[in-house]
Amino acid sequence: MESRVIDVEGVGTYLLEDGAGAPLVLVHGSGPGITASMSWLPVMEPLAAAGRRVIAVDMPGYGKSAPLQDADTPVNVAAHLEKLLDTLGIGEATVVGHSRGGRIATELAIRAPERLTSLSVIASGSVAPGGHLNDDGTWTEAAVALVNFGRDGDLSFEKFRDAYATHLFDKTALDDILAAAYEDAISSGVLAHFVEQMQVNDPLNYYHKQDTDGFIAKLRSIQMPTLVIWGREDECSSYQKGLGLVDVIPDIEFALLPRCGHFVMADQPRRFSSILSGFLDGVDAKASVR
Amino acid sequence: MTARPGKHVTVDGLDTFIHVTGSGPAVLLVHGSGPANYGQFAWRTVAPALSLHFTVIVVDVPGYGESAPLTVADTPANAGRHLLKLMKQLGHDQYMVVGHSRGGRIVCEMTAEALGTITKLVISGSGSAVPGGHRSESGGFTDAALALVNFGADGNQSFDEFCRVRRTSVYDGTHLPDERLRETYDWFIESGMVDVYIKHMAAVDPLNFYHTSDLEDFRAQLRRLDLPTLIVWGREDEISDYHRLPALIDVLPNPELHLFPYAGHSLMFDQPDRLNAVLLDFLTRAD
Repeated sequence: MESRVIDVEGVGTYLLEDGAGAPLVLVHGSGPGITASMSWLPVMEPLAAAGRRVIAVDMPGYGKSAPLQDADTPVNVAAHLEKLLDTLGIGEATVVGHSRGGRIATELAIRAPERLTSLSVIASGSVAPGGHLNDDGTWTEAAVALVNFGRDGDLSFEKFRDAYATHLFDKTALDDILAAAYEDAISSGVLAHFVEQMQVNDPLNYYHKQDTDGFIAKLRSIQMPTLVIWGREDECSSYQKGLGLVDVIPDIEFALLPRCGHFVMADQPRRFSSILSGFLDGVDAKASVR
Repeated sequence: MTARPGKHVTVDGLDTFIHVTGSGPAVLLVHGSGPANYGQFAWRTVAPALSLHFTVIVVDVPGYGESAPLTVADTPANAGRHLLKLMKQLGHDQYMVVGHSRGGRIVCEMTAEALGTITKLVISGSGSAVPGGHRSESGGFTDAALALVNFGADGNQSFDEFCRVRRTSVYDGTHLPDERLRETYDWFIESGMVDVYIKHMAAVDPLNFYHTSDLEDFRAQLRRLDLPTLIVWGREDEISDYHRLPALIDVLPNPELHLFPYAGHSLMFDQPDRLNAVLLDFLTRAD
């Protein structure tokens, strides 16, 4: 596993890399203290071992990456991701996004389909219509807990842990996953930056955008092979909402994992890796026939 | 038609036809219902891929293909008990089961009776295993399910009608080409199984044949199936709509779901390569 910071048109961007082969870009979601490492570490090695060059990116404003100069919307971050591919000299990649990262990956698939061999969307309430909503139209408690973290000025580890507690099915893994990310985020000031951002950003624009019908029309136009993976016990964005994508995205496979919360990669790292690798191998096999 | 590969075994007094290939851990493949169905027709795109890794047992379910009908009521539970005896007789005390359509319900019933003996469960396009699984929005059985149940009941047993009915189960009709359907159709007519099928379907109550009249009992049974479980389904399944799946997913203890695009009820004909990859991943994974 290697790490480096590259300059993407003036934005210092931190990457973790492992393995060799076709590029596989991993895009994490949002939330206090989230980094590429916190999101993807449990699955990077198995994905690399399956013969891919795995690149996990700290998204702008997270971890060790500088914030965007433009507004931090999924569309603008997708543009940044496209420039990142240019900077790395990567023509085509497969892109996998978790949670809000799924929306960023999808926006990239919409704006630059020629750059993606496939799209994978993991537990992304930002892509699924109404994905973060309860039946009564309110936001899920688990989503609100992340957005509201620190609003009362309390940035303690206990509160941090509480904010993520509903995001894993296996609560015993929480401390392991969170401790290192918390230390880094608090000492670097990233945690305070996140809290500030959440107060100036309208969550609707940050996670979604207001033009839902327009977005659904764009989802219908996605032609590339698409994989969606969800956890059955996801309390942030329910799997039933995720299933709603099956009738919208044309070439979609949908995999659901049991005993699995919103952080699919932490709760089911082996199943996640083998399902994703199998899907990507299938895409490669089809492409080589053409 | 030329004789199919395989052998007849007598299980509990009933002539039962099986075809065994490959080596390694045992996997039993259980086909669904429908006119002219039998093991090797249903699993022709799956058994060869699985037999590279497993001992694959393809069985003709009692009353189908070359297997004699049950002497007790033909319910999924009774068919399952017969297959449990078959596997015991073949010397398998640990094995995995894969059931398609009504066969999915049969393997659920088997697993409920023999947890521990059955180590992994795969349910494929099985409306019978989903509470309310064959229901259309109006509450009755889906048209596509009824077309299979009622084949020939109006006296029309023509090849064209047979093709029409069978092709409701695929997304792409060319995945069930005429020559493949012709072979199974000719056998169905010449062997007289067509009359057996029509009489049988007229005599059974479809609700009991495919499902059970007591949904609460069935849900309680599903809740006990605590073993690695994979559900595979075609998005374009018109016989059993994938939108009904939460009724199964939410009650099973450990279900993984994989849904395929451009695949009808018989996803093994529409998406064999992806299905086989997902099956192998699941069946070979150390859980």
